[in-house]
Amino acid sequence: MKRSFEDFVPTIQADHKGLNSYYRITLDNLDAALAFLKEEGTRLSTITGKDARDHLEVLYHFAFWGELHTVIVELPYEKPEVPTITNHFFNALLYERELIGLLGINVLGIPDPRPLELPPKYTDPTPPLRRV
Amino acid sequence: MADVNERRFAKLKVPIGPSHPALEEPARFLFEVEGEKVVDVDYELGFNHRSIERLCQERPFSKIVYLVERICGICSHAHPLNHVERVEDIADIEVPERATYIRTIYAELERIHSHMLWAGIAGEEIGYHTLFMYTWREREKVLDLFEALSGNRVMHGCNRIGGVKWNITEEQAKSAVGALTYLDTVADKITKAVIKDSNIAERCKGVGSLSKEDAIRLGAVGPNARASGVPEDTRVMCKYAAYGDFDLEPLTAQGGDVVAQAVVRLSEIKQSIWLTKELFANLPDGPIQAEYDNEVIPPGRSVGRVEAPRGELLHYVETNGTNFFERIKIRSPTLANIQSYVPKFLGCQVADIPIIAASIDPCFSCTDRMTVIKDGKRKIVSSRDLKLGRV
Repeated sequence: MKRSFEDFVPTIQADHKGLNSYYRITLDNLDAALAFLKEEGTRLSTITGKDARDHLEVLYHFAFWGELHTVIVELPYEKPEVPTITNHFFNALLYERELIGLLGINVLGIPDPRPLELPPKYTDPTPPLRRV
Repeated sequence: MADVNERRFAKLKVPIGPSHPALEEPARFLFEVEGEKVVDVDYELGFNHRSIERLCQERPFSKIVYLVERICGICSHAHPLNHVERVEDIADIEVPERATYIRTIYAELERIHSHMLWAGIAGEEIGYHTLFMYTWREREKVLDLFEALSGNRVMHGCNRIGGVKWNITEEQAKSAVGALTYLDTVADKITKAVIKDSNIAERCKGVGSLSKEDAIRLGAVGPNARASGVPEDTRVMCKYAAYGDFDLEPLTAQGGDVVAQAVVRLSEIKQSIWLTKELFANLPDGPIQAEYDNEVIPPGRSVGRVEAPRGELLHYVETNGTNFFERIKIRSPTLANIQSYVPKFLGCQVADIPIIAASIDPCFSCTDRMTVIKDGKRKIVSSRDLKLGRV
């Protein structure tokens, strides 16, 4: 990217390795980060959800030519909620539906909240990728 | 009496899939049609969900290369290639140059056979069965080449962390280059039969169009995006394996319709044949496996992409210092391309649904036969033989 992510978005921690960059930010700054990444012309590659044993993490992977920029937000177990990013990156829809089904993360404002992979009659209260 | 031109049709819902003769992959589409015209579409996925990501977290890392190879029967090299590159990135393993070349040879052969498979399927969907028979017959040559190089036609078992398992001898390289020269003439014939055929142009021009803006907005990847004029090719952008040593250009077309998809894929067959020949000609000497501590992978994370035949394939790997992975995430190219179905289907005719569904090359397995060597004799076993226990 032409501009540095850290200069425009408050970042808790940034790691750079080769073409990969990881930025840990708070949930409050997610909107600013997405607006910046959209302006820079990045493409959302996918979203990874992770159970980090004492909290949940959502990793947004953005591709910019050969570079990959990953924005990480942490969510407490008690409040597993993120806002939808489909208003910035419409192709996030399927990846957010995956978060709902496989990690039990509520995506607020998502246009289509059906879980992606799981069958409609899936009744186990623990989402498959949680470590409980 | 009402004018025929003003006639209105009732809206009907037509479900197609997950098992349907016109759709060779387990996805369910619900089309809303008005007469013969599709006015709305919904899709449902997950019929083949196998929890591979969860399984990857519950097995020692030494078994995961084997597991990720089995995600897809066609991209059986792209998945383990991306996986081992991620682990090597975390553990800072320097892969020998010869190994990176061998990996790239397998990756390009995979692209050739996958695109030939697509050309056959597309031909079948529009009723051009001769093309289907011809491309699939010639595609066997690529699978034979795989068998000669690795001993396996579909699951090559080539990738290892830090290198590759199978070396390439001079005789193998010579016979492979001969086979590639033959495939080059085949690619020319297929291109002529598809691109210059006025019947195909009449049938497919404008069918399943996707504008460049929509391709970018919906996150399309690979040949599907390139057919709409988006010049993104992970081989060019990321220069993984041995791609940094060669000058490649993303091959694009305009419009995103079935003809554009064919132009991109058929040009890529030619490009891959050229590249594979170059790889064989410049194959460096040296070891094929790096030495590393195979007891444990240090804690870390790596995310990266490779260009699978269907497009950008992303793997995210996180380790925690044990011999189990903390998290593995796999985003296959078809998932990224699924959303581009909506503008492709809207406004199309019901009869165009199968070819549009096949045009983005959705992923399905094609392992319907195998070769058994018993008492030194080679025998081809069909799926029917397997069902009847005649092995």
